[in-house]
Amino acid sequence: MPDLDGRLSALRDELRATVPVPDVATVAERFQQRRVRRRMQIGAVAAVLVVSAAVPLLRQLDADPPPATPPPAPTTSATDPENFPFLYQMGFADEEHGYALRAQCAEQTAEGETPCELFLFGTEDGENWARIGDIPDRPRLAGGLGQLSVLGKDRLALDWFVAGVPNASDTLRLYSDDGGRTWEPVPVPDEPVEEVTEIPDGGVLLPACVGGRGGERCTEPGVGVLRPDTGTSARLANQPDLEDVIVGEIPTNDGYWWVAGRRPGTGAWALAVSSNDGRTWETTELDWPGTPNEWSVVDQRGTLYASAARIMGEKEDGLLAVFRSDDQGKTWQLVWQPTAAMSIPGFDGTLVAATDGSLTANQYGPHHQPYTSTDGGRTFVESDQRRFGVVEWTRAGYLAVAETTYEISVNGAHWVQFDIPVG
Amino acid sequence: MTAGKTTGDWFASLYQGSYRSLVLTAYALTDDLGEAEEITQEAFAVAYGRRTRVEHADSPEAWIRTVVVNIARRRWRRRAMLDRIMRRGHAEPDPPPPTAGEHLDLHAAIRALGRDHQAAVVLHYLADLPVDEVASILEVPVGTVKSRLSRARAALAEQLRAEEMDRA
Repeated sequence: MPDLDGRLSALRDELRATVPVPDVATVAERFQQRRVRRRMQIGAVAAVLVVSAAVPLLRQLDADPPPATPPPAPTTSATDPENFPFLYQMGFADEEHGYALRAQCAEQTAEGETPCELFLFGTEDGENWARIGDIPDRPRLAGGLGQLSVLGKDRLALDWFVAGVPNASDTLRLYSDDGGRTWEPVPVPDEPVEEVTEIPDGGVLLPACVGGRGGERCTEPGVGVLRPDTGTSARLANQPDLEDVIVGEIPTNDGYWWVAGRRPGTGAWALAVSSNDGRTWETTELDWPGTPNEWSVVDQRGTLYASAARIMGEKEDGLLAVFRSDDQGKTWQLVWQPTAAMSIPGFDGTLVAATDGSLTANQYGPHHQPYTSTDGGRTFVESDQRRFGVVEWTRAGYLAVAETTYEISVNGAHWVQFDIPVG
Repeated sequence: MTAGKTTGDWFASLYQGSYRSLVLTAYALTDDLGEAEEITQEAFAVAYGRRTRVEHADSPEAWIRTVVVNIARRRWRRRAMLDRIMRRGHAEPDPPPPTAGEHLDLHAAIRALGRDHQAAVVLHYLADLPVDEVASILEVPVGTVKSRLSRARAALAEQLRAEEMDRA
């Protein structure tokens, strides 16, 4: 009888030897690709929130709020780490008070829906996180996992975009003024009926329809304000003279609000900056023919940097241009554009303007190499400041979120990592 | 200017030490070494995103193996569903990957076993997993695994004996 055990052992060793082991660095790259892919999938299909077995938390407008109940245990299965509740979104009121949403999604159903549960976490010291509760159910027509806006230490709003529902607003909103313990629905008419002359403390700037609708389409898109005191949307009295606006939801480190858009008539890209909470805007046309779908503005030590990028387009272009202003947005200089020899195609999020004067552009997906400039954005060289996730600017500093952890930096130079528990 | 933490040596060591074994685990469920490699890489990407949890698991390798198995099962179920929809019969297995000539016949003999017996053999003998772990992955009792291994060994021994006689 042949030595079967010996031959099985030899086959095992031989098979193992034929399996190449890719460099461990590819694991991180794949993780980033996976994360981007997953967010696209979850954001693109209609998501249904599964009501967990708990007392409903929706507050009736005329009734006392229900007594607080402990949140139910998370439905994470220890035997199915694939569906581990991942960090979906975070926001901060300041360096100490922040909120995070974890999402746990089941497989896509035959109807193309991805059932997800959302769990809310909060911190009061910027480091230690505790679970607050679940997000209540909302109508099945709403898409995606919702857009979280942190409006203050205890004030939150969650928006879902609902498309194509006749005679109904495009936005469903839940609002909380007790730190996410209870929620109430807030009407969001397609055209805001309220008006504010300035952006209130804690307010968030949003795109809004300010001038009427032609059928289903807004004829005058502009900017609105999500009010922290009520959770309602208001029209900003003094609108920047721009079309196709892309707004900065919160101000820069030095307190500048910004809106990117096209000049009516010419269609030229322009940047509008306000140093007085939206009362007035300094709008400057850029002499630049690019086709971005994302803008971001950050500042450091009196210098504003604007990045124009094309993300997830038919052609992945990444960072298309960097503009710099040394006079509070009155004038802008185009300091960097990609060339045949040098491009940053995997760029997403914001530039990181650090207190040491450096400016970093992070990349994601297959292009993971970050680039840093030390000459005011004119030239970029490879650097080692790789971040866990796409960097965004928040009221607590620069933030990069991974599936279970996040990094934060108040100065763009030193980053600290924190974990958020599952439950 | 550095991040507060990095993945650390432990993750790299875990990766280097368990990657091949996990590929063979996936191979038992997919019958395709290339797909097994892809599944294993995906599982490590999942583990990377949850590395704090993985680091503190009783057995980080077992944690990742669970993900490997879940991914492989999910893909197998989708393929089986598609096969039913398309009314496809079970396809002939692809030829085994190139190995040294002296083991090619054994590898082919394993692949000629029924799917259940093949999976048990690959998990136990090639991925080096104990019987109780094989039972957990295949979701069958330990006794069933032992029975399948016993029958598989008998079939392989018979096959190899017959081939030796043909060569003689």
